[in-house]
Formats: sequence, structure tokens, C-alpha cells
Amino acid sequence: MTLLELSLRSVVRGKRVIAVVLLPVLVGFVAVMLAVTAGASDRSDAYATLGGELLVLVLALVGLVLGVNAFGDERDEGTLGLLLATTVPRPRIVLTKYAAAFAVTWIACLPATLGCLWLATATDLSFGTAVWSLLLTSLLAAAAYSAVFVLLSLVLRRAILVGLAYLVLWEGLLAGATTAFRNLSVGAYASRVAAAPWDDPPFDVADVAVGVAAVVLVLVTVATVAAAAWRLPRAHV
Amino acid sequence: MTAALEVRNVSKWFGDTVALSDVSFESSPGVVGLLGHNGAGKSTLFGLLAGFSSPSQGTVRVLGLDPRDDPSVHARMGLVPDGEGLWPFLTARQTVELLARHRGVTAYEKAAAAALSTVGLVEAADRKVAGFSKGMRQRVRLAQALAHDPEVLLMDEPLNGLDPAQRRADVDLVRELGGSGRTVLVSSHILAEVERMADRVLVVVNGRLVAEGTPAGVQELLAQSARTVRVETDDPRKLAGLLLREAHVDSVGIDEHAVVVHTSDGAQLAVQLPQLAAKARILLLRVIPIGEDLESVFTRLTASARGAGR
Repeated sequence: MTLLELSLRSVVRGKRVIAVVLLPVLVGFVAVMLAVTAGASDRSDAYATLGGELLVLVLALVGLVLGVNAFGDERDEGTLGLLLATTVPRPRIVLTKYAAAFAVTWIACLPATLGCLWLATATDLSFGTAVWSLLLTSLLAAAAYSAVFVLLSLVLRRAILVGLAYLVLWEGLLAGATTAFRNLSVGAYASRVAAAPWDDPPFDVADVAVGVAAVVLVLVTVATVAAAAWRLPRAHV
Repeated sequence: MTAALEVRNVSKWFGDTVALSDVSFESSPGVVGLLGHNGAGKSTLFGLLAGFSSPSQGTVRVLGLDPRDDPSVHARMGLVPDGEGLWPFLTARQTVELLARHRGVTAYEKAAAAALSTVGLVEAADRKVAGFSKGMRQRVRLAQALAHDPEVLLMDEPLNGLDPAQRRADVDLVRELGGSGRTVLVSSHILAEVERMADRVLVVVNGRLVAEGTPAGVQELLAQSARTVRVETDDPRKLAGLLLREAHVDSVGIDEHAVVVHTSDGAQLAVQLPQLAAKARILLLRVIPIGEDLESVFTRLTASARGAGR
């Protein structure tokens, strides 16, 4: 048993995994159904909705449920003291916990990602572009959201509530309503990457080039994980 | 040689709450008992020694290292944290192996097996911890603290949740660990336990170190200072009146046929009481010191510290 195995097992346990698996499977199923049954023009609209917007939301929600438990469970169950009573350098504990949350989030969302990919083949958009933009979107969104929620779980006791409020209020309402806030939202950058197949994105995205959006997401991830790694040795347990 | 545990002028506060106030001590090899009621600051002290938080003032050193800055100290330190925390989805063996491995033990499988047998968890070793009783969980937590053969052991209320037979076994285990040259710091809020385990006792009340010494020494310290004596007599009213005139008597109470005397000087009371009784022709039936065991000493220290503080 290594620290990574421990982290992976603590991420996937419990009933929350069912919810986490059901949502992407449902989205993936709907995408495949639309690919098979909808008319040509409807399929393009559907892909814009599912592949562009819904997929990012699914990644955010799954990232929330899995990420906030990274340190939340350890604290609630009194195992954080055991975890920290080891010689493992504190930043490595954070990185390992983060890696587990990120990997499981990305994998759990694969049914939705792959379903959207199927739907993309049924549209007249460039399939090659759809493939890399979807994979990149799912990787970068999973990476950034996991980082945000792992950091929250380290800093706050009620990380899930605060995380949910952040998604609904900041990412949803503010970023959805105003262009100014859109460029401060993880979801808008992820949607920008997902919108790569369109010359003119049919949904709201951050007002930057695709490459810039990808770089922003990577930077947000790195900075947030670094903040968490900095925070753990200074936390009071 | 420097002491394994060094706590110098340590204070710790959280906002307005003072958890520890100017605590200083050095450990000695053997078992040091940390005695205090719940909330006295014992767990805060353990947290500081394990590096889980920084002192607001003062310095903490474990084996010469600052535990907050240097997690490598955990290779030589065993910790039984407060509470019952364990990963419910791991078996006892997985838990102990995992932790031994991450404390630098290369032969962690062998070390875990040995530690599990020391605490008497051989048959249940491969069962998931989720189904364990409180006592069994505590044994796993003990085993993980022993598996890497640490020089220093910190045990926060290790006897909590154990049945009497287990308690006895663990008291013996702690004594044995202390006898083998290790430094063991063990906390409890139950005096009889500390008395049996420790060579030296630190008494913590409301975040302050109020007494320190051998269990007998701590008792003596308290016997010299204030104590309570119950005197059964044929004329409690008269005796109470006479006693109240003495300077060392803080207060007297009358309880049926007895006088309960609180004095600041037990030795003087012992000398005066027969003289007073003889002079006033009062019959002394029984004299029962109430303040003899650590328990009452502790209770009184707690009461006086409460009165003084907060």
C-alpha cells in the first residue's frame, strides 16, 4: 500500500461514487442517443450544448464531489494526524492527494467525454478537431477544478458547500451574465477549448484564443496546487 | 545528552482562547505521564510535539529537531493521536504497513507483523478496520506507533475505550516500552492509570503545568500544601469553633458527627488536633484524611487553577 493507493481508494469509496459515476454515464448516454436518433441540424446544436457546455459542468461537479474529500475525509475521520505522522514531505502528500482526485475525476467523466465524441462524429464539424478539443477540455477542466477543490478541502471544513456556492454563483451566475467575469471563470476557459471546432463559438466562452485558454487553465492548476502544497505544512491539525 | 523532548516556554493560543500557557519541561528516558482533565491542553501539547501546529511562543524540540519543520523526525517518533481515527477501508495490517513504510522502514511487512503481534492483533490483522470495536481500533493505533521501533513515543489517551483487561495489558506494555530506554509521553485524565504507568508525572491544568515529579513526589507536594481532613468527634460544633481560630485552617464544615477541615498545612493540623481536643475535652473518634490520593489533589489543583484563571 502506497500513499497514492491510499489516496485513490479514499477517493472512490462510499456512496458518492455512485452519484459521480451516474452523472457522466447519463450525459454520455444522452449524447449517444442524440447521435443515433436526432436530425443533422439538431445534432450540431446538441453537440454544442453537450460537448461545449454540459461536459464542463459535469467535470466541475464530479471534480467538486471527489476533490473536497481529499482532505475533508481525513480530517473528519481523524486520520490526518496519522497521515502527517510520517516522514513524507508535506508537498508530496498534497501532490499525491491531488493526483488521485484529478485522475479519478477525469476517468469518471470519460463516459460523458466519449459520448460527446460519438455525437461529434455525427456532425459536420472536423472530427480531428473535436477529438483533441474534447480530450484537452476534459483533462484541463478536471485538472483545474480538482486543484481548486483540493485546496478548498485543505482550507475549509465546509468545503463542499463553499465549493457548490462557488460553482453556482461565480462560475454559473456571474460568469454567465457578464463578459467581464467570464474571463475570470475556469469554466469559460474550458468551454473556450471545447469550442475549438467552431469559428464562431455558439455558446459563451472566455474572450481569448484557444491556446491562451489552455495555458490559463494550466497556470491556474499549477498555482492552485502550489498554494495547497504551501498551505499543508502551515495548517493547524 | 539532550532530552528527547524539549518544551521551552511554550504558549499556544487560538484567537482569545489560551490552550497552553508558558509550559516548559524536558523529558527523561522512561515513562512521563501527562495528567490533566479533558480540555486542559494535553492534545494541544501532543500536536505541537508532533509538528501539527506551531507554538504561539516558545520552542519545541523532539530529538533535537523542530517537528514543525522537519517531518523526518517521524522516523524516530511514534504517535498515537487523540481519538479513534483509522482508514475504515484498510485492514489492520495494511494500515500498519502503510505507515511503517512511510516512516522509512524497508522491511515494513515484517515490522508490521511484529507490531501487530505485540498488541495482540494477529487473528484480526487482515480484517477491515471498519468492523473493529473501539478497543481493537486502539490496538491498531498502538501497533502503528510501534512498528518503526521509535525512540520516542507520544501516546494521547491510549487507554481510552479499552476494557479493564486491555487496560492492564496496555499499562504493562507502556511500562515495558519505557523500561527499554525509550522516552514515552503518555497522557490520561485518570490518575490511577498515570500512577501505574509513569515514573514521572506532569500535571496540566487549564494549559498550565501546575505540578511535576514522581507520582509519590507529586502526592507529597500536595500533602505539604493544602489538604482536607474529616474528623469524627462527639462535639463537632465545639471542635469546629476551635479550629476556625487557627491560622492554617481555611474553612470548616460540619457534617453530622464530623468536622471537615480544609487546611493549608496538613502537618500542623496533625500536631494541633490532638492537643486541641485534649485541652477542650473533646473526643476524637476518627481522623480521615480525604486528600491522600492523586485524585483529590488533582481535583483541588483543578479547582484552584479554575478560580485563578479565566
